Amino acid sequence: MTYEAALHALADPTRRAIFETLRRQPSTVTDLAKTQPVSRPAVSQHLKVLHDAKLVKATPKGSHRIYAVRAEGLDALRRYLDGFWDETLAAFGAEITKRNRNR
Amino acid sequence: MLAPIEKSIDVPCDQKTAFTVFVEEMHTWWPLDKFTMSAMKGAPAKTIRIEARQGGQITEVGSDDAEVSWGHIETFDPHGFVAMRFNIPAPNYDGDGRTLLELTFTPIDTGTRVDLKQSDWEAMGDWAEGVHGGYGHGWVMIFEGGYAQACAAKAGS
Repeated sequence: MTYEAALHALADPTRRAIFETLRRQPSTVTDLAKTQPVSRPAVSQHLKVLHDAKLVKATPKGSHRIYAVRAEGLDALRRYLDGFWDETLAAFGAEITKRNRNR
Repeated sequence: MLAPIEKSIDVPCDQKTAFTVFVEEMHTWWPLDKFTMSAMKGAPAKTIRIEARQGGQITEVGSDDAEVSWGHIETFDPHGFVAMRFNIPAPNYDGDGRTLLELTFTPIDTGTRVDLKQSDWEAMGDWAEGVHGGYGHGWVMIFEGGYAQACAAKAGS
């Protein structure tokens, strides 16, 4: 997956709220819907987006599915953010090297 | 407390040059096509303008000449140290929370070591609520989890 998928999935405030809730406590759609100000079908739709972005996983339990956060799903996003200063400082270093060459 | 990001780079030039290029000539090397608000909206920024003095403003000039504030210089101590209140805003985010960005320039045998530290993520506050660029809440989550681990791992290596 790309970090864009994760960024897109988390750009929606309702999805962020759902994601945050799942970080604290894995949950079924029914239980999630009780904590969110949106309908159960809407919660299902948001979960699908989070699932497609590989940010959450679903585990069958009896007739239900328990949704939980996939810690590794944030890796791409983490790499992107970690790369921010690496890349920026590398650009700075390259500028210094270029100036040395031109001197 | 969220863990700060800490990075270093050694550059082959004297302290004064390193400081001047980093702080006063940021537009010559900053990835304008990538890490700017203009770029997030689809086109590289034209430049970054910095008033090199205490209280000086840091301003991005977008592809459409729209100006957006990245913050200001809190401590200006050439050529060894500069602290900024810093944040690159995301599109549609009009909050004013700023992280603390501290840069230290230390002479070493081969040139200058630049130490970068970005902290005070708490200052971002409810940034997550307003942001549409997407990475607002992500950052908080990342820096609670990922960076704490990464920093701990680095400290142990």
